[in-house]
Amino acid sequence: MNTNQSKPSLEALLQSKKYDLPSDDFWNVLQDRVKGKALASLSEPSFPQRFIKPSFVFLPVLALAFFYSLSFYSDTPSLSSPTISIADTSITANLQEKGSSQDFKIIQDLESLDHDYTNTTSVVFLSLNDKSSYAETNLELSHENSFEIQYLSNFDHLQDDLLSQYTF
Amino acid sequence: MQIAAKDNNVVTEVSLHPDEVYDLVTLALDGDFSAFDKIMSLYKERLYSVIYNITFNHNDAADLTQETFVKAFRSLSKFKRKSSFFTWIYRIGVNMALSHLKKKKARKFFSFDQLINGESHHKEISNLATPEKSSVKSTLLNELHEKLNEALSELSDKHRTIVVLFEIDGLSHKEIATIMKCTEGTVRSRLHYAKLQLQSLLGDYIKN
Repeated sequence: MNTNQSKPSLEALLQSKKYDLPSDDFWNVLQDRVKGKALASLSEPSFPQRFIKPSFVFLPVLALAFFYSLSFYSDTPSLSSPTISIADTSITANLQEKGSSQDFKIIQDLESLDHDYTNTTSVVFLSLNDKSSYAETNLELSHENSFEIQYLSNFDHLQDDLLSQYTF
Repeated sequence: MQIAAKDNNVVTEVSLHPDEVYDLVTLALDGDFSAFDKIMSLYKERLYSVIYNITFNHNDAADLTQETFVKAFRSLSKFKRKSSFFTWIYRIGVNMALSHLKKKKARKFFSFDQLINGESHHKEISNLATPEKSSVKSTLLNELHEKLNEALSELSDKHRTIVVLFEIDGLSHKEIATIMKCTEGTVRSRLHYAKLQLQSLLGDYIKN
């Protein structure tokens, strides 16, 4: 019984730990170190600032990559793209213009040959998923050497290959 | 005598009016470093004590106390005065201590941390932090504290933190709930079970 009386309670024992503190010298050293670190931290860039400097390098690169991929995918029709109706005249008109501009160089070449010609371009769009889509341009020369141009607007052929598609 | 002096310091810290602390924070935000120095003087002992009783390591407690103040200094603008300043800075300190323990446990199996800590590069701090046991505390009390530390280390980090904040630092359930981001009921429940566990672990050394 007496032994139990001389023992501290749990609460008293826990509260005695409040005084389990280091010496004054410890606090001085600690405070000096905190001051030094806090002052040094002022010169350090903040979290968002850390990203600003590298972003000068990475952002233009990312932007270029983005525009490159954008132009790449806009030129190449996606396999998963929905089917486009055949008789969309506006698309046809646009593509006719595009086709004309693509063929402009060739027409210039033809002009340099001093031939009379008529340009009739038509675009047949069955489906973007369908490999049978094609753009057809007929150039009819005033004399016998008429020829036909066929350019498949699918994935198999790039615009660069346009010239290789012309057969005389 | 030293204990009495410490006790006076603690009383002074607690009795400072919150508005005065807010003024100090405002001054520190305006670049007055001496104001932050005063804030540090107000809370360093309590913060260190809490962190030490969570980590049981003077070096870690010293490092974490420093880091807490540096982080608080850098984040002063984020202090919105919704809670008291000491609750805010305690939350930083307690979170740092708990995440430190998590990291320490995670790498315990892969490194020689314990051995390295024994020969810490912070010898100066470690020596200064070791209390003058012979002059201030009796051998019996030292022994009891060692047993208490052993028993506390048996508790989970969250249970131990609540015991430390409530019993040693004297915070209310509400304040602890704010710091630990849990309900007051959770605090009460954890405290209850933690004390039961401590009672059973320290059965031979404390009153039943």
